[in-house]
Formats: sequence, C-alpha cells, structure tokens
Amino acid sequence: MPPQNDFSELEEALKKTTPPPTRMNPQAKAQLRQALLNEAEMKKRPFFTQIQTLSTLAFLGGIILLFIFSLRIFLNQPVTGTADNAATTSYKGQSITLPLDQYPPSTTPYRIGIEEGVTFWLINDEGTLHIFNSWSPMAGGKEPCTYSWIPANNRFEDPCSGDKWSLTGQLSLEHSYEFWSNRDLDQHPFDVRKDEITIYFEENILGTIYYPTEYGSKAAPNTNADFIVEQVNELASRWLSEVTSKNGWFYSESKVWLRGLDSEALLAQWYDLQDGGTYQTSFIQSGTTTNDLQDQTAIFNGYIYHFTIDGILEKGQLDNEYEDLGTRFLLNRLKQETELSSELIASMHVVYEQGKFILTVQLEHIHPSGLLNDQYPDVDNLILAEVSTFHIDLETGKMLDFSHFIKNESDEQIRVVEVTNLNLHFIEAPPSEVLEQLAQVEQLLLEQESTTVITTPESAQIFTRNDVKFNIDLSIWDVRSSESESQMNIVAIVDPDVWGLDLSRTPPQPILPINSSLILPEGESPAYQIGYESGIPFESNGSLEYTLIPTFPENLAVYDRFTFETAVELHNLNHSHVLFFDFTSRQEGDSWDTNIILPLGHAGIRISNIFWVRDLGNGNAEIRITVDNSSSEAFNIRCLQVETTGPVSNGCREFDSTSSFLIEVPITTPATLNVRSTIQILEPFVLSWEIQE
Amino acid sequence: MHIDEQMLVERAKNDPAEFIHLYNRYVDVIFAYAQREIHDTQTAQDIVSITFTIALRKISTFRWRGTSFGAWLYKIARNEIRKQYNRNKRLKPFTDLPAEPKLDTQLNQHQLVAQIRQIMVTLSERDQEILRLCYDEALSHEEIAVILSCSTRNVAVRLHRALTRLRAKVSHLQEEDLPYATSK
Repeated sequence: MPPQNDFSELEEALKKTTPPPTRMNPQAKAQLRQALLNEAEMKKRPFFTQIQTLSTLAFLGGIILLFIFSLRIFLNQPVTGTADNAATTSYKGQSITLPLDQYPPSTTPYRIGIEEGVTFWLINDEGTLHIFNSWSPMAGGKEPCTYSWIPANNRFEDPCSGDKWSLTGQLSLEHSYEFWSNRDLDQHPFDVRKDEITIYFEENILGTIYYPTEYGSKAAPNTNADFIVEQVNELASRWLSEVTSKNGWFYSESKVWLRGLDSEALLAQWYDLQDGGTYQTSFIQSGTTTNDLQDQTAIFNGYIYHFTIDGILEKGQLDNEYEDLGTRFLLNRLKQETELSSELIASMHVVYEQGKFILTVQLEHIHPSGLLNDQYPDVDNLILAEVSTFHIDLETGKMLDFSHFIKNESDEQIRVVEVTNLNLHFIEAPPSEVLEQLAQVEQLLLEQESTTVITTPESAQIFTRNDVKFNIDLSIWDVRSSESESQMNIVAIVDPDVWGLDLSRTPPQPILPINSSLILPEGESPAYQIGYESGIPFESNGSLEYTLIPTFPENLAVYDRFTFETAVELHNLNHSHVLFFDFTSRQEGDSWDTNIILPLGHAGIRISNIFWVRDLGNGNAEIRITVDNSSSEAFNIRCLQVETTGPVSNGCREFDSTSSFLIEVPITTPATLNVRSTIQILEPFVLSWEIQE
Repeated sequence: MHIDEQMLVERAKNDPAEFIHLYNRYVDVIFAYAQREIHDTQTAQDIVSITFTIALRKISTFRWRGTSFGAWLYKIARNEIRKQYNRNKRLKPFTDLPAEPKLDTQLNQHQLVAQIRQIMVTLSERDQEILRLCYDEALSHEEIAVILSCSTRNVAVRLHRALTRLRAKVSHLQEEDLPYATSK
C-alpha cells in the first residue's frame, strides 16, 4: 500500500484533466470595463462637488492635526528596536499607521513598540511586507514569551523555547526539533495606502502549522506535559449541557465539542513523551441548574474541579497519521417532565491504551424531586439518579460500549443495562450525517407535540469572549436554525461587583440592551441590521446573565461566514455616589477645588471643581460642577445625572456636550449630592459565528 | 502579496479609476472560474460583472491578510455563484453528467485519467469544490482559506479527505493494476 499521504498520481490526473480556461467575450469584457469606469467616475464625483468645503476643512484639520501630531511625537516617542529610522505613528488603540518610506527593503526586521503589550515586527523583504506579532507561538501563543532577532544567526530566536524562525517568519524545523512552537510566526493584517501602512492589532493570523509527520525522526523526548493539560482543559471547555424549558416540558441536551481541538499539536506532544508507561488524563465537570424560570432558558455552565495526569505515553505509538480528532459527539438529548431542580455530573476520562485513545464519558443525572419514580413504579426506594457510561474511540468516533443504570437512595444500582459492540455511531464529521440524525430526533420530538427547533451542532459553534477590562463575558451559546429562520442565543454575563449592580432587585437592573449589527463578508452588500428581542435578565451565581435571541433573515444561510458585532450598553445602573460639601464660610463666587473620583467599572470620572454660581434666594444655591472624564479606558460617559437631597434634579445630561453641570442645592451644611452615571462601552465585543451549509 | 499588487490596490483605493488595472489582471481568471462552476456563459459573465462591481465599491474595506487580491475576488465570485445556485437550481455544476456515471471497470491508466472528472462528480459538492479550487484554479491553501473562510489547516484537512475519498472511489473501480494505489 502507498503511504496515506501520497496523492501525487491522483493530483497529476486532476491537473491533466483540468478544463481549459475560457476567456470572456471581448465585447462583454469591454462593456464591463466601461461600466466600471463609469462607476469609478460616480465614486469620485461627490468629492468634486464638495471640494471647496473639503479643502477648507482639510486646511484647518491639517493645522490641528499637525499640532497634535507634533505634541504626540514630542511626548510619546515610539520605541524602535533594530529599526534605524524613528517611527512616526498615529496610534488609535487597535491599529497603527506608519509611513512606509521609513521602512525600506532590508535584510533585518524593524521592531516597533507603541506601548506596553503592543509591539510588533515589520519586515520589508524586497518589497514584500510582513507584520509579525511579537509573541512567540510557543504553546499556542499563550505563553508570555517574546522572540528576538539575532543578527549573528540572521534569524528570529525564542529564548523560552529555543525555536527559530527565518526573516519571513518560517519555523526552522531543523533547529526547532523540540517543536514547542508548531507553526510559523503569527501575523497581523495590514493595509497599504498613500505610502502608509496601517496595521490592525485586533486580529491575529496564525502562522502555517506543521504536522507531526513533518517533524519526522527529529522528534526528541520531552517530559513536560503542561501542553497536554492545556489542551485537555481546552477540550473540557467545549463540554456543554443545556437545559431548556418549553411549554411545561423540560429539555436537556449535552454536547461535547472536540472540533477545533488542536489534535495535531496535541498528538505531537504526546508523541514526544518519554518511553514507557501509559498516559492518562481525566477531568470531571459538574454544575447545577435550577428550573425555576418558567418558559425561559436556563444554562448549565460547568466547570472543571478535578484533573490528574498519571503517567506518560509510550514513545513511537503514534506513527500513524491522525488527520483530525475533531469529531463531535451529541451525547444525549432528553425530554422529561419539568422538575424544580436537577443536577448533572459529567466526567470525562481519556486513556491511551494499545494504540487507541479511548474517551470515557459518564453522566450522572440526579433528580432529587423523585421524578423518575413515575417511570419505575415497581421500585420502592426513591430513585435519585440515572447514570450512563460510554466508551468512545476517539480515532473513529465510534461508541464502543454503553451502560446505563438507575440509582436509588441507598446507592443501589437498579435496572443495569450493558450494551457492547454497538454499531451505533456517534455523530461523525460530515454535515449530512449530522443533519440526518438530528432530523430523526427532531421528527421524534415533533411527533410528541413538541414545537422546539432543534439545535444543529454544525452551526452552533460556541464562542465566548471575556473582556477582562470590563469583566463582561459574552457568549454565543447556541444557534438554532430551521428552514424559515435562524436564531442565535447570546448570553452576557456582567460582574455585579465591578459595576455596582444591586442583585437584590428583581429584575436586578432595568435594562441591559445589547446593540447588534450583522457584518457580512467583505464584498457583500448591503449589510443587514438585525433586530433583537429584549434581554431577559436572571440571576445566577452572583452574576447577571442576560439572554438575547436575535432572529436572522432566511437567506443568511447562503453565506459561509459572517461577523456578528455586539455592543453592550449599561444603562441606569444603580450606581450612585454620595458627595458632601460644606457651605460654611462660603459665598457666591467661591469654588471648591476637588479631586473626587466617581468609579465606573474599572475606570472613572472625576469631579474637579464645584463653583457657587449664585444664591437663588429660596434657600437654594446654584452650583456648577465640573467633571472630567479621567478614564483612559475605552468607554464613553454618555450621561451623568446629579441629584440633591432636595431633591432637585436636573435629570440626565449628555456628558458629551458639556463637562459642567448647573444644579440647585439647598444651602445646608453639609450639602449632599447623589451622582448617578450612565455609560456606554465604545469598543463593541465582536463575536464570530461560522455557518456551514 | 507582492508589492506591485499592493501598489495597484493602493492606487485603486485612492483613485477608483485605477481599479481598471486590477480588472484587467483578473477578469479572465474570474470568468474562467465562473464558467467552470456555472457552465453557462451568460450567467458567468453576469457573475464577473457583479464581482468586479462589488469589489470596486468595497475596495476601501480590503485588507491584506497574507494572500492575493485575487483570493478576495474569488470569494466574492463564489458567493455570487452560490446565490445563482439558490436562484436557479439548473445551474448546479456538472448537471449534464449523471449523478452516478457508469464507468468502465477495466480501464487502463490513460483511460482512468480521462475519466477522473466523472469519478469526481460522485463526490459531495463540498469535496468537489475544494478539489476544483486546488487543481483547476491552482490556488494556494492560503488563498482557498480566504475564499472558504476557514483556516489554512482546515483547507489541508478537507483536501486530504477529498483526495482520500476520490482515491477510494478510483480503487473501487479498478482493484487491480490501479495506477493510484501504487506508490512511486
């Protein structure tokens, strides 16, 4: 048999039989050319009609920008490493623009630093540009290691891992035989325009990944298994269980997502372990859900509380090709009566034995309400739990065996069912098979008068973004699609401590709107603006969770991929600050220079001055409060409401328009001010969701 | 991502009339792609027209991501082709061929090469597409990743699977003396 990877003759046959290229009809081509020229002319025209205004504005803007730019350069010179030229930059947080003429073709890279944590390498390799992320791809790019350019060796070197890359970012397999890094240097996308290059930091393009087989015999023992821990943790994070209540019925769905697991890198590390012994990992995940929310979705959010590594793998066991471990398993889908509470404990255990990776899954579904007693009327003792165990071959995705029993109060196992040599497959990768199986389940549910729309694993990729700065988690939890509509369930979790939220209120806060817009792939038009339903807040584990279920247009399914952009606004937070100041020995025209910080999340605004404008003659004084936005973080204070104990309130004022507030305050000592603030996060969270037909 | 193409794109961003140089460079490539996918000259011309019009309007949003400008055009064209499929089912590729072509099971190597396309038709559309992009359009994995909006690694895996399935079908047709089942 030929090597599995040898497709050379087949590829040759495909190339030989490629249909010959056809050329477009010259007349049609000329017509289109003319149409494009007309379109180009149309694009230019509005500028000509406004040229006078624009030129005036440009002149004034230029003067202002020149001033700001000069000041910035003076105050904040960027750091340059091996670059000979000083970088003149404009930095807007997520992107930077540099003049290209300062970075001519060179056999050495330019290292450019903007601020702490924002550095990169610019390479101009005879006119071909590369922008490299300064973090080493070691261990998935998560380790805090940066690499350097070593002129003597004419290459990049990472002191942490010992890995090396060429000027153009290619991983040196020869020198990186321990392959801590398994890929070329990561890059940032960029844009070249008007002799300037704009680099976008928000996106990181992973370098080309090398597969274990490409390392060949250069693989060397490596006793460090931390990488595996990280990978299995990653795997565990893809374990989900969802409980849904609809129309008095209670749905539970558990899924394991292995797709996207960096199996090649994982196997490379396994392969690289020392000889002897076996390697074993396990982790258990558990959590509790309470179904006390009528017709709402409760989410079982598990966590890992146990993890062990018991041994090491025999070297040389994995010389076969493992092209993809990304197999998905739909573990169970239960329909059961609504009960007040239940608990699901799921444990997963990966064992490598005799050349196979076996995944053991055990599900223990505990029903303290005695729900199962109705199903087993002949069992005297209260039934507490159902326990199911599966063994799955990770290579083939097949379930090897299955057992099931129920457990009573006395911890006795009743109705034990064991099945071996099953032909039943867990869901394999091809979408058609996934959909076929799901359609069968859906049909089964429909026959039982359910109107639920089934969740399709093919489209329901879980995506979570945590914003450390604001302590907000946004997750796309599941994606539901039918022939007529698609829905995406987004959950926002807000840390109440950070935002001063009052959990004792029901709902805890009046509103948490999530503004959503849909951005289609480049080249598509027009962009959709999608609507959304009101968020449904509910309290869980000391945080506030809001679900959002936007509905997408039917024809959305024709797109391969789109970006769903979500911005969270926090309105009317019950976050008031009480200020006291003293009228004693003060009169009209006096001012209090203050430095009172009003915390908002991790940032804040600052009251810098309080000025007694005039005595109103009714026992009140008109006071002007000057407020500075001292926040260096990226949110905008939209509105500030100042109240007195009177109360005399000015209502909500747009903070953008003024930094001063005139209010009436009773002339008492001490006077009390209540300040409430409303903010908007400027940088929206960007969630990506891939649809595959 | 060579500098001359970067310069062309840069100029087109600044002056839409300069876009015509990109048009001249890619019009036949995109037309050939559309023609191979659609098998209908008039529709293929429409695809080309829509593709370049969209590209002209949206060029200011184009960013370099390590691949050619052409990959972006392919992506736009592919979306348009899929829209056409949805509107007009008769445009499904290779509709002039039977879904399961009857093939001679005693082919020699030369004949088998000639019939490789008919064997390919029996694969899923997903597999066919990745093979066409790779071998008919001669695109790199990076470019295909842009077009299919997936990772380069995912392209490699999908291509590997498609080739594996194609080889399995070829092997099934000719168990003995099979040119593709023997190593070099």
